[in-house]
Amino acid sequence: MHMQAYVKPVAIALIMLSLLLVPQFATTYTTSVILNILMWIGLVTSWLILAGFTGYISLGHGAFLGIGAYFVASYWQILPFPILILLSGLICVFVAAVVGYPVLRVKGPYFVILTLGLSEFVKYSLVYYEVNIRGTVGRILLRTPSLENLYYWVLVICLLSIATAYLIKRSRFGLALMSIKDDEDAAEALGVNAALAKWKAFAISAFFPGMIGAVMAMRWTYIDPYTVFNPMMSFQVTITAFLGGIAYVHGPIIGATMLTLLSQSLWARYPNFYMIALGVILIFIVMFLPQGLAGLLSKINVPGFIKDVFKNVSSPERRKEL
Amino acid sequence: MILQGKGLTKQFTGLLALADVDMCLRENEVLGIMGPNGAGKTTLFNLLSGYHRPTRGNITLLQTDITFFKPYQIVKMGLARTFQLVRPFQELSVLQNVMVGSVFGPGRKVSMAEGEKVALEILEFVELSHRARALGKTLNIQERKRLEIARALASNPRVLLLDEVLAGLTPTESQEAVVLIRKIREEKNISIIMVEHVMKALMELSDRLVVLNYGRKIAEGTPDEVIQEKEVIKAYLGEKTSA
Amino acid sequence: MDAIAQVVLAGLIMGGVYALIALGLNLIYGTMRLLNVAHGELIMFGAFAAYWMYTINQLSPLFSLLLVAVGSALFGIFIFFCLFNPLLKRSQSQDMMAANSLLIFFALSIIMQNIAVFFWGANLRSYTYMSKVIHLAGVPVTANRLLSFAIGVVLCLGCYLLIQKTLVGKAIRAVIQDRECCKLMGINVNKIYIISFAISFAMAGVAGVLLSMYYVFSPFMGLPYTVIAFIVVILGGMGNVGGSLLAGFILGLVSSVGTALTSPGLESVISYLIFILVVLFKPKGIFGKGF
Repeated sequence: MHMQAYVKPVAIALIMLSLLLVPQFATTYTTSVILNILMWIGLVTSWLILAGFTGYISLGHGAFLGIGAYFVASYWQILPFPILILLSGLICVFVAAVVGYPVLRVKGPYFVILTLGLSEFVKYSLVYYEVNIRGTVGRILLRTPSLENLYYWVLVICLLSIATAYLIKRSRFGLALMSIKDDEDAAEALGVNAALAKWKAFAISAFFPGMIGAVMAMRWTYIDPYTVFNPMMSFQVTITAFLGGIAYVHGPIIGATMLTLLSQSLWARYPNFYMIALGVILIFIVMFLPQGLAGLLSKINVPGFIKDVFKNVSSPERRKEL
Repeated sequence: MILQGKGLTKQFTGLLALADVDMCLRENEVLGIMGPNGAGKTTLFNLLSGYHRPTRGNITLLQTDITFFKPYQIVKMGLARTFQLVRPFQELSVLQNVMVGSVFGPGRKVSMAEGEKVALEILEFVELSHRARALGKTLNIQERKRLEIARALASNPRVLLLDEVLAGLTPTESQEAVVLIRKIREEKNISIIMVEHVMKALMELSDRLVVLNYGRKIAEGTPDEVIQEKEVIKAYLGEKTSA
Repeated sequence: MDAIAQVVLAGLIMGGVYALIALGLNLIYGTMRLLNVAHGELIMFGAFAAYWMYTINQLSPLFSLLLVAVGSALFGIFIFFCLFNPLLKRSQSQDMMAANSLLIFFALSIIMQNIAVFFWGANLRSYTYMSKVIHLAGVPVTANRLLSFAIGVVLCLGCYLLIQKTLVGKAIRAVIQDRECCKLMGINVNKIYIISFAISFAMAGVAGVLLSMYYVFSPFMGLPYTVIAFIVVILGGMGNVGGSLLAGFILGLVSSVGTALTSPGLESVISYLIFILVVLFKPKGIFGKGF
């Protein structure tokens, strides 16, 4: 019993250490793959702060990524990089706070398509602005930071998003959000200010994609509205979340790792097959695996060690503790 | 007088659900609301708990006008309700279900730790402690009804609205629920308004009854008085035609 | 004067297509309360099918129209039996069914889009068919536009009459109003679902064929059309088939006039803006629930 208490912290410490050392020892290719995985983990985890807890599925998460990327592209080499990252996040929080109030009154499938519509609206507005007002198509970023530098930024943002989700899950705020998911009316009858809680969750969840977009703009070095506001980004966030299992804080880790590895093996040569595979995977999850891979993991008999690592992170276990 | 509604009227498009109803609730009293289907009982509950805004009229709870308060504000003022269709939070444990009430229901800010303590006491009180760790969706109908009451109690109310908590229970379970409601009144010093179709229980539990029909109040008084009223007999049994 | 007439005519022709698209989308929404976000991809497949048959087999689009209609309907029935029937049986609540089916439709749209890219490439395509210019009361318009408009209007009216006048239509209307009640009344609700899927898919495919006769198309054309269909459906009232018809023409006119007054570059911006405003402020539509 005593041994097991050490397993989890030790495992986490080892994982953290190896993540820290990746740029030092791994090849550029491996580093960039892991950076991609971290990016998706950060995106999906932050998406779950709204969708996972409250059940409000947003297809506009990618728009915050785009806003962050565009902001950095506009002010690159005018403001220092760390400040740009932070500002990108804060601007997205601001946008989410302004938009969120009316939008979050809309429920169910309407909310889903509304968020998609909003993100497309931003995209086409920017396209119009770029083409007709600035007379450009996109922006090229010069003298961007090194891969190693960017890697650490994404790592920090990713860990921050996981920590945030984890803390929310155990807080009063988390309890309020989870009650909204099951039954908004009943939650209100018990004293939960549902509108306020949703609004806060939406604003918080926008912080991370904004910052990730800022960093990724440096990685992409070419920014245009069609690529950074591609609705496929939002779709992929959703699919990754469902693949991992939206009720679990470690779901995104599993989902993002799986999908990034899949995309690495397919994307370069057969990009269409990768997208088709995504679609098929999504159908498969809905039909046969509603709890996602994390749910599957908690059911099958995995080695005690792996289970222990995830023990306090996953929700059903946490519930048993209570 | 702990809760008072004056001239409550609710007009839906093409339907007058409630017409000029006065009602009041005294300290530590059980008030029964009866009436045939569609009489306006649920509408009255929805007005009192803030889910609908009255077209006319006003509601006073503990000397505060709560007519235009939102549901979550009304709970914090001390009026809690249950729903006719019991809806536990499916993916939360029974304890967490009750904690939503104990953490967010009271008028002051309650920490998770304190909320948990209160929730455990309440579960003890409604005799559901043994299920504390089970998920909401695994409960049977009787346990759901108890959980529904427990959540409402956890918000530390002065007034409790019970919307058909006996419906769907077997006679034995129903009797147990009656015992629980008595216990709430005696030990917690909570005033109760209940809507119920089970007449026997309503007669047994209520100090006073209000009878609604087609959105109007047709009778009010002690159970014995009310069942003598011609209007009530007519509403329930229909008019006597030639014998 | 001519300029105005031209804008109005263009709006009407667009409106005819919008109505056709929206009608199909609304049928599935009305009977099953499900939003088919892959509707635009069905249109896209219809367009490419017509293109293929025309360029490879010299098959007139008027003939491929029939093939596409039948093919799409069969595809709809196939999808219903493979995916939605099991989901319907399993889902405990309407909310769950709505969320799950939304994901399935998303998956379908991604799959179809990429199959199209794989077969036909990502470029814009078009072909010429009956592109002779006719003068209609002094306003020049190509023959293919007029033809597709005529076919579209006939199909819309046909569908409307089917729903208003036939026994099947009566059942469909009943299901739109109250499914649970219909189940109790002994209407085979599943059969109505299948019919809705078949008609809806067929109409989307046909709309694609009609569009392809005079418009460019690409594997990525789906989403904008889905959004337009949503706007029309929401404007006309979810589940209100007659409303969709009217709203289709209104939106066609509005966006044609709006684009003429501002700039063609703003076309997408305007349509998304209308969409957002409608969902936010008029989610119940402008005509309400009735027919």
